Amino acid sequence: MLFKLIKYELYDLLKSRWIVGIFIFYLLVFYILLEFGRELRKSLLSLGNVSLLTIPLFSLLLSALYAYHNRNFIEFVLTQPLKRSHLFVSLFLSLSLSVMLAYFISSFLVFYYFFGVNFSFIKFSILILSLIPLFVSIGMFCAFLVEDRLRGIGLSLLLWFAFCILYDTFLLYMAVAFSDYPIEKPLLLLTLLNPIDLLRLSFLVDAGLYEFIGSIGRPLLVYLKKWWFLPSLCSLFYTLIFYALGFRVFKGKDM
Amino acid sequence: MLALMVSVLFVCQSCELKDLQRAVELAKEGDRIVVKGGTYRGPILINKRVELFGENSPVIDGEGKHQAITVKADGVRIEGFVIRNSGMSYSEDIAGLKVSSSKNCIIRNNEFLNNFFALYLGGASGCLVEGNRIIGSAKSEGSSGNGIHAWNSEKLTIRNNYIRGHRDGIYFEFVKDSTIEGNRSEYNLRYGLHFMFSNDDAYRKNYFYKNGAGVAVMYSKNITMEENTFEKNEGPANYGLLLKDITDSRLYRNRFINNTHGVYLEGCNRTEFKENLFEGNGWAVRIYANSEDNFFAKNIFLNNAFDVSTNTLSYFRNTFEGNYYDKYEGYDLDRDGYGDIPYRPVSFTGVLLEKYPLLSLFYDSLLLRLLDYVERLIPFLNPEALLDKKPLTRKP
Repeated sequence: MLFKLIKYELYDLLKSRWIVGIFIFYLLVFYILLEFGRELRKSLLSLGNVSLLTIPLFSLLLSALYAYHNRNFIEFVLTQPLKRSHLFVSLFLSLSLSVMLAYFISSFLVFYYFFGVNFSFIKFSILILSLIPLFVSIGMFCAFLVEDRLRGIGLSLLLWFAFCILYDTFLLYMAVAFSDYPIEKPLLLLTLLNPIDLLRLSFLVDAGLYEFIGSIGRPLLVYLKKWWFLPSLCSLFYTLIFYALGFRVFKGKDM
Repeated sequence: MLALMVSVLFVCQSCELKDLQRAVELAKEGDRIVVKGGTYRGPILINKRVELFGENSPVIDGEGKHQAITVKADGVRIEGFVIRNSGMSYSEDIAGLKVSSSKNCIIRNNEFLNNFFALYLGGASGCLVEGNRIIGSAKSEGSSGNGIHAWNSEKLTIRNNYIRGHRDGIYFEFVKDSTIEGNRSEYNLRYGLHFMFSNDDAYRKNYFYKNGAGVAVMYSKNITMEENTFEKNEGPANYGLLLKDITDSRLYRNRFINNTHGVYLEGCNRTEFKENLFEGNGWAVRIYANSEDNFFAKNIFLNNAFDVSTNTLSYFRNTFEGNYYDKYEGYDLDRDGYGDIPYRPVSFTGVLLEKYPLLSLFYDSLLLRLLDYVERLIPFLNPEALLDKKPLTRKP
């Protein structure tokens, strides 16, 4: 039954305008980026920058909108004799898979066209793709938490903004305000707590750029070079938390 | 006639003369001593004008105790030897080959292995050091010496040598009117090349790669630096080229590639930087406020995290004119090759990082990029004087 659900939802999603839009968006953007910067190391860095910004946004918006949009479908399925958890899992998996597929295929096609198969790209993909389930789970959490559609989408946009900019702004303010105190370690820790910052730093480390400019946390960040998949595990951990939260809300919901 | 006056002595394991020191004692001024392959024990003292030629790389071994060869005469020539295992001392400068107070020596095509100081020139004048291979095994700065160490000397020519694994590759202290050319200095513990109190020198076409702290030129005047390459000197206190208290010098057509700091100027005055390439550095040019009247023209800045950075926001007396920056986004409507709007090579992020180094954690984040962008639209922080009024629009 679970697989049947996933199959229908995935089928529905993959032919939706959203997924096609995401696919074409990345195809075009990556093509332009790689066309201009033919150097592998730098190209990956700029692909990373674009992805770090857009992937969370798309995943959040798509999952929240999908949950609101298919409210009738969800309520209908719930009248059938099947577990709520199955429905929730199927929604989560099909949303994540569809975005992952769209992103991976488009980026792979462009990348393959310019550089062929390459381990750095696989590394890069594993890191970036791990963000999708995280933000899908956050989007679903928002959608089931807030009844009103507009406010729900507002909340998810706010969260995106918080992850991408507000959090850094807060830390930047902290670094400036407490610059007379030894705050290297707490600051580094707080920075690494944000999955987007963590990924950004690991791309910089991977591109060898951080060695040039960063003096703080260098020994720690060297680990990111060795254990390059750590950020993915970290995203997975957050995904589990938001998934559990979302499921709690979904289970207790009167529908 | 000449053959009668200058005789040739042969030294080898099966010759009449087996001892090199004995051969030197027997030789007259201007004689030539040919040494065949084999190992000869140091220490050897050369106190008259002789020419030593090694055939089949004879080895002169300091046995970890002595100075292998000491030269105390003018016009000595040493060619084709392997000089190895000098002693090590914390109180004395023991070297594989030490030349003291002599003129016009020629040291060519030797191999120096595992010495404390490899070649030490003290009070030398007019010496030529060419084509030597100098390989040390330095472990710590305190317990190791320099590859080519010149002190209180003049008119030296140091050409086409290869130096690796010493404390400083080439070290100059109180050396004037000298030329360093075509050397390759890499993997040294501290500096690839180190100048102290040495005026009127030139170094050209050298290659400095992965040295512990790059290249340092300090407390000197009138130095010419041309067509050198500084590559991969990485680390927080590591410089492609560190210029400290340098005046009236010239840097032309050098290449700074993938260093943490390309050039770092501290108390560097009246120096010209022309047609240099800065590529892929963390900070391409970092200028301290105590540096004045430096002139930058026709340099190329590519892919650096920060093109120019400085710790002063008000007092900046250096000129940037007609350089090429890959970050420049202006236009050239009158088609004279120069951008129509000036370029500010110091970014807001650069200023922030100079003040709060902790912020390097946020490098390349959306937030800092936004701040940079806003600052470019509405400049409010940049040192007013730091402006390139004629940025090149095409890479020269």
